[in-house]
Amino acid sequence: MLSDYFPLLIFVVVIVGFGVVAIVVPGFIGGHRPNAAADLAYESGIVPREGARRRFSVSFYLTAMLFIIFDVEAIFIYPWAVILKSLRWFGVAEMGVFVAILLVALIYIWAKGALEWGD
Amino acid sequence: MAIAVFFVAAALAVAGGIGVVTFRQPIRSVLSLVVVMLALSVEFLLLSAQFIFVAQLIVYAGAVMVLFLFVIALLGPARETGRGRLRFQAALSGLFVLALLGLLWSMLQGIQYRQPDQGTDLSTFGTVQSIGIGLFTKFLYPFELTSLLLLVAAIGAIYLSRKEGDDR
Amino acid sequence: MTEVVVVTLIKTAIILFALLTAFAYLTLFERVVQARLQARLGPNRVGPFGLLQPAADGVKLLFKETSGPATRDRFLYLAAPVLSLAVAFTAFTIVPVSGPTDLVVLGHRISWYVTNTNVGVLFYFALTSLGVYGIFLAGYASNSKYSLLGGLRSSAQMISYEMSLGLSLVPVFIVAGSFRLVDIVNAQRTWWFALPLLPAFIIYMIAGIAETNRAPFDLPEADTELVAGYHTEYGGMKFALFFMAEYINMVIVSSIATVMFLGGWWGPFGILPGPWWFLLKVVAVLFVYVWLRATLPRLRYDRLMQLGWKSLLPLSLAMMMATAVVVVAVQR
Repeated sequence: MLSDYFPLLIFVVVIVGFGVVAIVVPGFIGGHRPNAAADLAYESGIVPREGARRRFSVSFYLTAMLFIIFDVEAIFIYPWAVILKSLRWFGVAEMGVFVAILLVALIYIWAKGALEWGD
Repeated sequence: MAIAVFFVAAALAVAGGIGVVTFRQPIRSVLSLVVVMLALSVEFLLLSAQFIFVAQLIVYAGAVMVLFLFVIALLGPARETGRGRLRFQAALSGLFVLALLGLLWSMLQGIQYRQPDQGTDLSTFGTVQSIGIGLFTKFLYPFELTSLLLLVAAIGAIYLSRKEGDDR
Repeated sequence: MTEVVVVTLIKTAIILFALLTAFAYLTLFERVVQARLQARLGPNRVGPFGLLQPAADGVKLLFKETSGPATRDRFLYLAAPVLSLAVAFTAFTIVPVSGPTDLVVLGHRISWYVTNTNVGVLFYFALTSLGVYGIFLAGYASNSKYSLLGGLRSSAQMISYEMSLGLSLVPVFIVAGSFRLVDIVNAQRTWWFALPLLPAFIIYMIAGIAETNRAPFDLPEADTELVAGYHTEYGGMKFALFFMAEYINMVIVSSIATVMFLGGWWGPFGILPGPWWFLLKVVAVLFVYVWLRATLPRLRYDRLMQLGWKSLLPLSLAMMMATAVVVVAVQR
């Protein structure tokens, strides 16, 4: 079983090594002419007056929270999918109830306007 | 080989844990926590828990930690300052660490390490199928309750993100 | 043990080379196909039919000066492209390029994939969910407004479509009864799943295109408002790594589509060997990618998020339950 995952380890190590080399090497072979303007963040020609990190719309945060809920739901669905053929109608009923309750959650957040990005 | 992977992952998990509490920039702390989650997923894999390995990656590393990143983006560039620090904080935390280590040590005394039961079939143990059969027959009731828990979580998320003075 | 290490290293080298070549020629393919669809010629000056264009682009990027905002978070700024690239490449480990029998080289049986685990496709889902980090960190570490907003938008888009991407494949798991990609392809020997499960295939393709931030869902890098999105502040080879990750992710989505819905290495009449069928199907899906880019206008950001949450999510759940009912009903 564990031997199935061993090639994965080798692969990941090689690929990360490749990425690091690809990042480091051009630093030595590329030209280098320091320039005060090149050190500024790009703002379409305007000189930035402050750092970029500022507060952002709560919608992003809400999306991430709702995503966790439906991601956990999906995690429960995957094992059900592969054994459905042995669970039969019992399995359909089980998942029917589960999905129905989550549809209530989806309808609730929909009705509350959490899926709108208008403002 | 498995032992080597275990120690590397364990060391990464501990290093990540230390990183979470010592880094001053919140984003570094979150990323340290991501390292902890990744290292733990490898440890699960070493226990033959294949499904828990991917579940750990998808839910913790891929969803919960992303929410943490978004919260940092939402809060802006706040750096942890010394404000709100207790006077004896360092000494107190040292004391708690020692107490915790003592507790762990005393717990480890009673442990008997053993091989898996003779009857356990390691070729199916921890597979998605075996987890699924347990979840959808023996633990059906907790599974259905989980959906209610997720519904409550959705309501909570909406409540938390409402506007100030907005009572919709 | 030694044999596994050697074989895996050789496979890794082949995949690295193949995907880099695929990336290089996919950029040319995209430019030429788009040009032809718009009645232009496209790049045709560098080498015969412009075939050396990718090499010229690569050499140019390699020798670029490395620069970026002085206020960037240096470590994260460098880690982000490596992370994106590693996640993109690693997804290919689970893809079986051919089958059903192993390749025999000098008496060694060599499988047509790097790993074939019990969790199979779920590992691909795990990698797509980790793909968010590279993009978010690129935006955050650059300390530039365009980058941060682009990274934030891009990651919100990716997580929104990730659910539909996962759920759209559930009908396939139900019918095949396995997560192993080899089993799923073998289950399609007579019928490709794209036919009976057509709605799931369409949902998967839409979610896959959104997940890879490609047109018409490429708003994170909408040139007119956010310049180049999360990689605005990246140049030279560091930019190239993001570019590579994006195109390799396209190849991965196409490969997974081929394995899940288009019968993988199986072809009608057995006229071509397995790997050729696989390649042909992947190229066909990639053509659809390019075709859509040349045809459709970009969606507005709120419309994009609503499409994911209000249409694809309920539809994929409905498709999943419908498949479950039908499969159990016809089962003896």
